[in-house]
Amino acid sequence: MAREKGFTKKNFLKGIIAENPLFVSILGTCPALATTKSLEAAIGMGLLFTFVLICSSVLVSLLRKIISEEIRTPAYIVIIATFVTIVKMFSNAFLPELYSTLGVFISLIVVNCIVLGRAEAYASKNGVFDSFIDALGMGVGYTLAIILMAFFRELLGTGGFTIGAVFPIVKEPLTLQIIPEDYAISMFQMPAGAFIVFGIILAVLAFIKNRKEELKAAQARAEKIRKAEEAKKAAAAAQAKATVEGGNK
Amino acid sequence: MPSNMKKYLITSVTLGLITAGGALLIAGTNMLTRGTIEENKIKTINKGLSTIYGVDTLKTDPATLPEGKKFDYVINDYYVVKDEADAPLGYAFKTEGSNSYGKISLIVGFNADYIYKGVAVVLNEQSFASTLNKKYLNPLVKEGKTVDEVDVSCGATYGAKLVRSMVNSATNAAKYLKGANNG
Repeated sequence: MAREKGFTKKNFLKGIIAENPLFVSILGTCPALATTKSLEAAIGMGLLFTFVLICSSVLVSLLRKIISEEIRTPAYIVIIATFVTIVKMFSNAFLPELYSTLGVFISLIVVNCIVLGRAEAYASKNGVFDSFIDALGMGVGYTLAIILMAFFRELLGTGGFTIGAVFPIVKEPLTLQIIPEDYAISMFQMPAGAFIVFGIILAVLAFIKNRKEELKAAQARAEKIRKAEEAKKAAAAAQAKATVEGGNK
Repeated sequence: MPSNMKKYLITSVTLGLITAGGALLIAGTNMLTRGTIEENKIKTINKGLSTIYGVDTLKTDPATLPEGKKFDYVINDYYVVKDEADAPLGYAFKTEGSNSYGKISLIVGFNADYIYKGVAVVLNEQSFASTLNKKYLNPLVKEGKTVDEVDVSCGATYGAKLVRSMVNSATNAAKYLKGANNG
């Protein structure tokens, strides 16, 4: 099937901006609120989530002609649960700190609406490559969204960032203190802080979107006025021409 | 064969095959990771014991409470902790428990005179996991209290009640061990 030019890029980017699963579709909010206490945990959650999303989307797309309508949902759940279990075992073995930090939220990827939603809405109707790109875009979009939340929550809640507590990149965890600890607002580390940060980000994004739409509408209005004026001028010119021609006759 | 029957059969076989494929993948992953997960568990326990007893390297001998006595949350085995030169450092009890927020596993350490040494988290699967951290655990029991004096108090964290019960249970086990060892 011939693919529209730039389709792959558009398909990838839609998950990051226009159809961001967290900030636009408001899906997968439970892990986003719970695992964004630290930047490292959010990165870890994003990576595991993206892996599960890509693998399940690709497999669902591969099996889309075999899986009948009646067993669609149980089949998708089995596929997603398989990849979540694999991810859980690997993180327990090779990233134990991440496994312990994310706790039950790794298992809960099974019931994440984004994974099941992409399998149902996209992968079951599209080819393997398109499904892969769609899942990659959605995964990256979700990861960036939770990283943004974690950035503000960790910075405001602890006054800085801890590096190496979850990923063994340094021997001893390093703390980068940006705001003096006494000025940190620990509420941002609590569930209430997660809701506040999430709400503020949504409000800012809605403000930007509304501003853009207002600008577009204003531009459209200005264009309409300009065209109307041009038409008026053309009509006046035509009338003047007709009057001159009438006079000559 | 009626057409309905054929359809049901195909549907069941498809779902069965997908499930079997998933099971095979999980089994393969389990074979690959099982050893490392076990090693990690031992490492975490040793790290916890090192923190409690303040030594870098130590030896542990798993032992069973006399007469197979059981305490809530306490795993039947306890550890006799020794330093590198085989000098006894104390006794450590591994506890496991869970509440509606998830599972917690702690190691509660006492020195050779049954005086409370400290507590370390081995596993924390509580949702909003890191609420159970050193900040809350350190003042849990004042170091230097004997098993008869331990009075656990801790902050209003999600697992506070569970942690308190687990430490109390380990303390009771230590008390029992002291009684049994002292005849």
